[in-house]
Amino acid sequence: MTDLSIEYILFSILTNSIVMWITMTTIPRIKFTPKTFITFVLCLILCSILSLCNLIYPSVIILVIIIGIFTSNHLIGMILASISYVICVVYNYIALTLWQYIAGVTQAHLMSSMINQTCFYLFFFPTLYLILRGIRWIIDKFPRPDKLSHKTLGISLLILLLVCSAILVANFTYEQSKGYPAELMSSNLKLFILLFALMAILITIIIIMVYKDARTNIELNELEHLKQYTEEVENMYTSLRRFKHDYANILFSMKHYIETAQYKELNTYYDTQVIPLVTSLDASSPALELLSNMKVPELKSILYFKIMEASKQNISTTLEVKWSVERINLKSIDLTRMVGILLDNAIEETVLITDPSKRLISISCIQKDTGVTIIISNPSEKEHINLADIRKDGYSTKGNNHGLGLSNINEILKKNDNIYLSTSFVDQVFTQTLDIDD
Amino acid sequence: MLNIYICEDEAPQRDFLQELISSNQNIQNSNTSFVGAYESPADLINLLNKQQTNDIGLYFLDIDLNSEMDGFELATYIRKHDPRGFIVIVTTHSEMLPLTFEYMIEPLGYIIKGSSTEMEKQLNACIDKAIYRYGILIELAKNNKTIKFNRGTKNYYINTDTIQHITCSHIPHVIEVFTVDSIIQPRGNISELVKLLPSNFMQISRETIVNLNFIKEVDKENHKLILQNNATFNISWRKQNELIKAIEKKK
Repeated sequence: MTDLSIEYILFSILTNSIVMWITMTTIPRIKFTPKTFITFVLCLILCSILSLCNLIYPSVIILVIIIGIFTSNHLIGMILASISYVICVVYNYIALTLWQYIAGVTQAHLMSSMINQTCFYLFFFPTLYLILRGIRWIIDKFPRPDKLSHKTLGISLLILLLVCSAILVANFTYEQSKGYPAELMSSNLKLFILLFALMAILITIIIIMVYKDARTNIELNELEHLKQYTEEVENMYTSLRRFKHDYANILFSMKHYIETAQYKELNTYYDTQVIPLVTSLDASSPALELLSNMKVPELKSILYFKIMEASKQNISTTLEVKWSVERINLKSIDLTRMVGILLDNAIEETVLITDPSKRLISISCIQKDTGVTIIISNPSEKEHINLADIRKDGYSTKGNNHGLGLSNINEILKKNDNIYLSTSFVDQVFTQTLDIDD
Repeated sequence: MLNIYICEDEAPQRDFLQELISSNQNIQNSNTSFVGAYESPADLINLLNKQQTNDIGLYFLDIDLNSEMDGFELATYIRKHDPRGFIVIVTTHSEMLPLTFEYMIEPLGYIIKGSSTEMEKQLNACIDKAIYRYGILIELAKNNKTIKFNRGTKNYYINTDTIQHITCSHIPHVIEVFTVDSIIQPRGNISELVKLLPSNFMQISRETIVNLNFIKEVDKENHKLILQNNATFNISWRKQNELIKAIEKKK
């Protein structure tokens, strides 16, 4: 290594550049134009020269940043580049060890002659390329990071972080046992720190995004439900106004029959005109009349939404909220999930009923002194349900996928010690009673 | 004795109900008496407070949700005062809140104001049902076969023959009672409870009481008990022999 002949320097620059080229361009997805391609090649040569002068750390940083600039998703590009470098370093050790066995050349021998080194690189380059391609192939098997949900992305990054720390530790122990120069070790360390920092930033961003997304989703949903609800109330008001108008007319007509003592006609008039009007008024969305007593916005929203969903599937609903419900002592996410699942199950079961006039889901929210009780009941065509099975995870009366709802319920029940769920199946009516204590 | 009361603020309707009751045949043939018809809830409450008997009442209550102390409050009062009493709700169609009534009042039945022939049918059905249920109650009380559970203000009276098993729940001091047609989660303690239950119940582990009448089989090797509803429980090793003996004794 001591004789720094021109050939040796050129050789080193060449091999370094090739290693870097393979490492940096295989995993990250780079879009090259002729201009950027030339910039990249020049940078590679510059970095190789830098690393020859024992400035490996800045050279790798420069490359990582350049890759970041050249990829469409800068942060992910930089992370992928850093990871590639880590893989390259690790594989370098492995390849060296392997080469010792394959060619029977010790490391000292290897470093001393250019021919030996060329042989090694002829082995090293293709295998490195194949490994990186393999990793790229595996990455491609998974959905693109921006299409992943934030949650899965966060979890995979965490796993990656753990793997990297494991590699870091292994790498250091190995280097120490081999007695590598301190600068090389510290430059590797710095690189790892950079990688960690990048990932930490990304994880933080993801967490913030997940939180914001959830918030906006809830708000958007609530807004949408509120809008629909307002329309529904306006419709009800319009039909009530129409009724007021008709009602005056009807009384007037009846007065006419009474004045002229046409009692038989009055009777027919009452049966044919008055009764249908009253029933039609009763039938117009009876479920929503009492929804105004529900003052807990998230529950109001989910009730409204599910009632509308049921009516789309030709299921009628009744909703009883006799006393105004101001607050419920349960986290809104648990409350809406719980009620959502219970109502979904009720809808799924009721849809199966062949006689449409029997498709009725009843919901009641009762404010008591000690808490709030929510009751949901629906008819079922089943003759018998084994209630002991219901509390088992994964149980479903409708095949495998539906059991999740019930096990989610059990999970929420276990998490909160102020909620109770009673279940009954009597005369083919299935009733779930959820008590939430204050 | 089954005592019949009416509470209805409108005089014509009150008289109509009273007439229907006095013309019912089954009342005269059973251990039932008509006590009175009252205009306001307060009158009925005063009367109930005065008499301290073990009699059970059959109450026909007008639920008019608009008055000062409404029939609903009266009904919840009666439920507390006479927990086993039979309440029949007399109401209009638009004021019906079946689930809420069921939970708070547990009515025996409903009489919907409207056509008088329908009302008569509904009233007679309610009376028949009350007399039948009253008979069962007396029978159960004789054999000591009812057990009371409660949580907060809510009481559950359960016929012990319908209980399959009782286990601990996820909440301390709350148990889960599995009956033939329901699951409830009242307050309770397994080892205290087993003392109150009839002899066909046995505690097989720290968490579980089973009704011996519902046992399907005992897996002696794995210390498991399987009920007819396929629920499976661990048997504590100290209890296994006792359990097997008890089952043999039953046979």
